[in-house]
Amino acid sequence: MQLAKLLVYFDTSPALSLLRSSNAPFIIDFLNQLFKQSERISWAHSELVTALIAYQENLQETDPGKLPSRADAYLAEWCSSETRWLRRFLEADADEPSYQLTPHTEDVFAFLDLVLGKDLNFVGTESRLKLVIDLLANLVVGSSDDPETRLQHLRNEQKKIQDEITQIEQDGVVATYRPDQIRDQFATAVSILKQLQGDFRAVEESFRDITLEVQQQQVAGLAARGGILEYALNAEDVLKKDDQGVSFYEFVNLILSPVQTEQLERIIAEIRKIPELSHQQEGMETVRGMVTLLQREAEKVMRTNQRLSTTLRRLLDMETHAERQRVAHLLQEIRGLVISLGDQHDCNDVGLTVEVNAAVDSPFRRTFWTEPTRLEVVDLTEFQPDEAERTDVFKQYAAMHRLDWNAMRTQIDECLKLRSAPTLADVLDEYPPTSGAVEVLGYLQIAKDDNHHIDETVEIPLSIPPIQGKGNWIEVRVPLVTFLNKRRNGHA
Amino acid sequence: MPDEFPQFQEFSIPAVLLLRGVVYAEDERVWNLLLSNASRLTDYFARLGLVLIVNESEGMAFLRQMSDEETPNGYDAIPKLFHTSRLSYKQSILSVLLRDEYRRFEEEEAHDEKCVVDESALFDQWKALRLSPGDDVKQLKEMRATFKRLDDFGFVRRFSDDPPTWEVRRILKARLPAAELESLKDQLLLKKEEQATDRISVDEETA
Repeated sequence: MQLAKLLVYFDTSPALSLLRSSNAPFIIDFLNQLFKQSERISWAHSELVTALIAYQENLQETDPGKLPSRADAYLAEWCSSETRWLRRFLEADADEPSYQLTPHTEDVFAFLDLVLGKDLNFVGTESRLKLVIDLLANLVVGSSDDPETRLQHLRNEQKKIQDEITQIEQDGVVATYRPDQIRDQFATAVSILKQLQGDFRAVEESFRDITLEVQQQQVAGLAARGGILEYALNAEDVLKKDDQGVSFYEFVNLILSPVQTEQLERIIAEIRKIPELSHQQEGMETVRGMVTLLQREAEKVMRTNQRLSTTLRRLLDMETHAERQRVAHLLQEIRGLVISLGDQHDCNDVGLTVEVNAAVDSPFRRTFWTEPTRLEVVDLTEFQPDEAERTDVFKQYAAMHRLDWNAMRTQIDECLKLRSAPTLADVLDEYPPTSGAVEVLGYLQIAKDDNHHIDETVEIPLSIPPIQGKGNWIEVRVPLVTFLNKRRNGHA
Repeated sequence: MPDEFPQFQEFSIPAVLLLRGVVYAEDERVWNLLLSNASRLTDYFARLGLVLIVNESEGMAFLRQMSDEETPNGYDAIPKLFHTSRLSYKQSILSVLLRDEYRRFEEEEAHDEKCVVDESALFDQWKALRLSPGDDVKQLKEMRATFKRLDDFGFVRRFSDDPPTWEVRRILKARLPAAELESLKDQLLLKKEEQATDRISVDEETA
């Protein structure tokens, strides 16, 4: 860490500007919920705006005055060139822009994960040290081509395994990890996994940078074409050749290999059975979905790469290069000519000739004009409600769902024991409806039939839960119904 | 009506869509059907006097009328199914501006998969070229009307209303090959010469 670097970083880093922004906790919380907790890599503009509006509404209750501006203004700000907390991009098959996290925001998450420790509650120092030692030892063995070193290593391993076998055979006792060791190792694994998930953004970005660089060299003609071609005989190589590319593609092979993923899924299933880890909910969540998530992330990066390599290939293709230059030149010339014509554009006879769609469209495909439907106006001033008919229709309607009238009456009675004059809302609080809106209608029917008090001048909003957990909550407005004791009603 | 229809063939789906316009790789199902039936489709359309162009690197396919030179020996002249259309002067120039936007997108853009341009940026160029008279409101109206026509040709598509943006579609590149641009340039050169001679004759008259 050098001072010069620090100064530049503190001055320019989007990650730091996010941490410093006055709304930082809310922005980070929102992005975390949307991208990390829901395990989505990208969101369409309309979805993200809707989610942010919902988030702001909730926020008004808990933290009034925070994030007060318009949702779409925030999104625009968050992906502006100054902030760069989100990346806005246009996908080929989407009709609106999409958003994903930038490496800078991933850095913020990584940093906060580290300092807040999440529910893992401790930093696994022991397992980290072991990991480092193992890695270094592995490196020493793996980087040496001396047969003696390799053999020595294998013999040591062999001896270690043999010793353990002998020991178990003798004592019949298996040495297990201490509970703290288990949690320690798990914490380490989860934190590495989280970093890994964040890394995809960086990999994608670095591939993009490579493409951009080649593009710029190409367009500016800085490098001789031969030079670029040598560097990129096959465009895919450009992306695959650099260190990150090599490592990434090896990772892809690993995560997309059925044998490996199956094994990984098996291990995860076992991990979830370990009692010592039963409280590590968030860590478990992270591990549970890791295979799918990593695969999705890898596929996303691969897709980007395929597109980038197509771009590069086109750019490096000799023939299209010549054509492109010719077109660029022509377009420039045409512009120049149009400008030189000045205001005198009597050019009705000038124009491009293009081949357009087949003339198979029949003019009869268009529908004829029809008169728009008119709504019949029903005059209700003279309308006499037919009580019998209305009750009949109402009963038919109510019959659509079987209502247990007796149980409902009992429930009203139970509420009457608790308080003197419960309202319909009180009854529904105590006994939430299970048959949807019909049940509320049923209560209204009972209220009417049993002469409870119905005040039609007051409207009460009610929220009715969906039937059997399916569907949406229903909002209805009903007259104020107050259930009265039957004695007072003169029924007893 | 025959008693029995021939059996359903999957290649009918891309075939009909090709007759209606461009098939893009984004339409995955149709695109895959098209690729796997490419030779049959080529064969089929050749009978109608059409050439199937499949550009895999651009991710699009379309049909065009077979030229006289391409017509194989032994083929009688087939009535034309595709008609050529002449763009008006303003439509042509707007197409040129958009073609240039697409060219720049291809050379410089690594982030987006679509070429989307701001209407306002285009309008600045439109004004600079002094294509239509009148105040800004009138000029903008005219440019939008021109866009609408290009939309009918499938060259552009409205992308968003706020801010107003247009997607430049890949087919524009295919429909405006260098040769066609060359011809437009020649027409403009001619026009300029005419203007110059007119001016000379006007000068002579006043002299």
